[in-house]
Amino acid sequence: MSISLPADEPPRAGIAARLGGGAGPFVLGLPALVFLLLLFVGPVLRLLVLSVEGGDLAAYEKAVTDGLYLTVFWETFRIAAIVTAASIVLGYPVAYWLTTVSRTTAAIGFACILVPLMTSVLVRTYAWMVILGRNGIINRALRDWGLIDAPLPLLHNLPSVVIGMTHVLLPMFILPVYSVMVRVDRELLRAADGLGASGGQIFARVYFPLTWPGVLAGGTLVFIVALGFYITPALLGGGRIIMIANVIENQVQTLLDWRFASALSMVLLLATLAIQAASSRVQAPRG
Amino acid sequence: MTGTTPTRLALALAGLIAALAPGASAQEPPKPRQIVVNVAGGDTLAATRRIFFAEYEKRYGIRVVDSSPTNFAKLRAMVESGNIEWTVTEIGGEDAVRGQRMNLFEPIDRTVVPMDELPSPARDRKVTLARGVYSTVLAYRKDAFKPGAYPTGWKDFWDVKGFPGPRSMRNRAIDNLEFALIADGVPVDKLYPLDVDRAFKKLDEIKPHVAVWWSTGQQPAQLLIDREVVMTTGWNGRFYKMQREEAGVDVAWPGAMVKVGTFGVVKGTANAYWGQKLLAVFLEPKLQAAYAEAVGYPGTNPKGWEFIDKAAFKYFPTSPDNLPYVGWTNDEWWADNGAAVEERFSRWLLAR
Amino acid sequence: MVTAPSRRPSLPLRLTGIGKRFGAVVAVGGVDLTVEAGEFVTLLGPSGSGKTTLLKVVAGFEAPDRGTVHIGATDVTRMPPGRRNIGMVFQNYALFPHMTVARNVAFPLSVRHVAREEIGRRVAAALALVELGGYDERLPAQLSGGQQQRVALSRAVVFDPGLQLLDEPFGALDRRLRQQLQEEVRRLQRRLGLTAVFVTHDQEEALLLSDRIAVMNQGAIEQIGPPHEIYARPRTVFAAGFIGESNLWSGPVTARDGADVTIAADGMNLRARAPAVASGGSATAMVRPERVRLLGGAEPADNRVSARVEEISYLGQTQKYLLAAGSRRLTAVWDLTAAPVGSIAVGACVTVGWSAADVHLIAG
Repeated sequence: MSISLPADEPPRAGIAARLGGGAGPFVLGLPALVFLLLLFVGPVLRLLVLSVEGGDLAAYEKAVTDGLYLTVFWETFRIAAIVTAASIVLGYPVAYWLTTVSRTTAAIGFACILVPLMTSVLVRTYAWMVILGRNGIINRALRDWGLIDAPLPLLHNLPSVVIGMTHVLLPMFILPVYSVMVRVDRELLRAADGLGASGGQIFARVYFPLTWPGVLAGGTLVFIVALGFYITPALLGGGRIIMIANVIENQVQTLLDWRFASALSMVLLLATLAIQAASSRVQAPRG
Repeated sequence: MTGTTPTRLALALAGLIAALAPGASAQEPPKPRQIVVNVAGGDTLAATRRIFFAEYEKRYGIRVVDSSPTNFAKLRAMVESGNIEWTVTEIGGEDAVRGQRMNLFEPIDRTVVPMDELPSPARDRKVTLARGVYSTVLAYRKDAFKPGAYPTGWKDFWDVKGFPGPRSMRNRAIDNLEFALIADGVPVDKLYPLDVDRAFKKLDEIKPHVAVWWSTGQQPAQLLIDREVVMTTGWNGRFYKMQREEAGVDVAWPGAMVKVGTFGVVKGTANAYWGQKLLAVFLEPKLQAAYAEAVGYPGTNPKGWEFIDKAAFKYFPTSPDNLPYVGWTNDEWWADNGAAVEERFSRWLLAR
Repeated sequence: MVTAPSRRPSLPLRLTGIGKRFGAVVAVGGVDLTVEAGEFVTLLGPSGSGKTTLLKVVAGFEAPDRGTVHIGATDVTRMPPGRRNIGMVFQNYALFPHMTVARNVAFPLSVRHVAREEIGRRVAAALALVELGGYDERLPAQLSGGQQQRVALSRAVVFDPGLQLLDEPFGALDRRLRQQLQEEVRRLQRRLGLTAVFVTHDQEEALLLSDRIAVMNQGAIEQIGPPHEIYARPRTVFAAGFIGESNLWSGPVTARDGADVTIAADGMNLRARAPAVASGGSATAMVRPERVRLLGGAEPADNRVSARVEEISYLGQTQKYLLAAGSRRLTAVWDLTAAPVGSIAVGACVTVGWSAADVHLIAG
């Protein structure tokens, strides 16, 4: 996601030097660093210590060999991947549309995207239950129109979990993609057009590769946040969709096996970091 | 904020009067301005505040600050770190056993708390007080079945031909294993130790018919209201209002599993004595009866039934009407076997 | 190699009655223009003169409100840009930052589904043409501005376009680089016989490169012709002022004497050779600075003026002199090698003059 400067741009060191150079910028970052150390690194280290309590790696061994937890990890990653794909398919066109409309329309569009983000996840999840239920809006409408006799099983399955999670996470995809899209030089599209590319070729070979950093950032964000989802899969999945966060919660709250919960958390954290590292290495599709 | 000043003033005055009253014992530790009591949230918190806390505040002039929900992990962390925030906390039956084993509670001071009023085994508890009971029951929509031909117990819950329609059960092993065994013919007083293999085998039968494995307490009632299921397991208090208001949902009591709801004084709290005083208030039959009427969870003090109309007995799991038919959850068994059984249940639930 | 035999021929461009408005603003108002095959025509004018809009109409990025665009025999007025087969060079290069140099140059070929081997061959040839062989795998960000523009140039010719459009392609470059590239563009255009339309506001550049210059002002072409004609015989005061430096006088034509006329302006009587201009009207007289001569004491001249030197600027081989004759200012450019010139300093009083034949008259 680095933004490359043109070769003849002046080096940025000059600006940094004028802003105080040396330790100056570091000092400015210090409060945030302390904040992170206290609230993130500290607890993570504590989890790490908890997970090896007793001096062996038995908890880890169980976390990565027991079929139950492997299944849950696999299921968690699979759902996160599906939700990410759904967010890309739904969010990319919306973000593009927002770059093409007037300021007023874009402002209204953003309000529509951001207002749900400020609503509680629980409320939004219940809203889907009202819509998708056996006696919900969709099933009732279909029955009233005589299209079905028995209600369709729309709720309490994987699709409803994906719908609910995508709804919650979509703004997190749209915002980074939009911010990359607005910076795409329109002249490049005009150049591609003038050089004989069709609409599809302009998209596939110029526009999409240029917006790829946004897709990558938004997609990674959605994927990682989805990995930690808890309440939405519990409520919309009918209890059959078990994600790793549900298992960790169960270990902490019900079974009180903090050591194992810590080990599961560390495995999830490592997997998340690995995905983060891998995604930053993914090249844009070539034109 | 303006409302608090007169309240505080009244509390301070009450405290002053109590302190000056001739009955006040000289050995009593100094009164704190307030104690913090951790309880399960929702309707039960509101009722607990209105009925028990109000009485306690009036009597001793100590303010009760509540927090919720119950959280065993937090309790353990609190005691381990020595940073005790709660004076008294509510705790589930099986967790109470574990809490006792982990030494997270002060012992009950029998000179303060009149434990002898209780029947055994509640009378014999050492560190946590059984204030009341709650039970996991079978609840159903009346309109899903022919009038009069309603399900009467777990055999009917398992009978998907005679009582068709989607079911809901909790996403945990506790209660589900007992219900499976009862459905398979085990009498409610012969359940423990649980035959786990037999229970899972019976659960296999019902699994395809369970639309939702619920995880939070408010889900079962909502699932019935939304017609997502025709019958479900759930905590009886969640159906109590609908039962009393004849709102189309009823409960089949036979085979309901009853658990005690307990409170303990947190180990190391500075106000242990005044916590014990609160436990004593929790035992008063009149207050327990008022609480049962409010939320559907009856008290442990048998004298409480004297304050409840006989016509309402059918709404409570341990009323003289229902007591012979319910089972009692064995918290010791679950404290010993819970972890392994719950893991097996998760595995079973995920298996295709 | 991209050589003449394998190339498809360049095509002529014909614009007829092109008009384009943006709201109430007339960007282009009825322009007719024909560019012959292989000709290099510059649209020259200040910003807002309509030259860029006109170029966009030719490229297809703007649809004209009226008028037609023909490339060769084809009416392309309603054709999308990509089908017009035009090689376009943009001011900011418009190179695709995520593609290597080779992929950038290959782009117009690969979108046309040209065979892979042929793409390789033609890209190599096109890069060799701009002396960028060996830069294939670089990214645009790793090149200097001049190199980037050369990549853009080769991308604009690699697919044998019928027409090349250049939109202020040197605007972002420094002077030295700009000169180099100007030569390169001209060489390339001649060698490939490209029909080229070039947009600039830089008159020097226009004079240097063009077969013909179209001077644009307020959405219309004021004058079109070869550089020397535009320079020596501007048809409007605007054209005279916009191209090169000039000394201008406006006033009535007061007398005729054979082929010469007299114009009264700024308290002077200027003699100009203008057989076709009638007496009694008014006219603007233009004298280019290099036509103003330094006169010795008795040297005869059709027009003589005494002046004081106010400012001298060095231009290298020549120097520019700003002269004051009463309230009137004059500009003269003299060759330093002419003996007396070197000794003139600021404040000196000199006599200057020019012949009637060096005065160009603009009617009105």
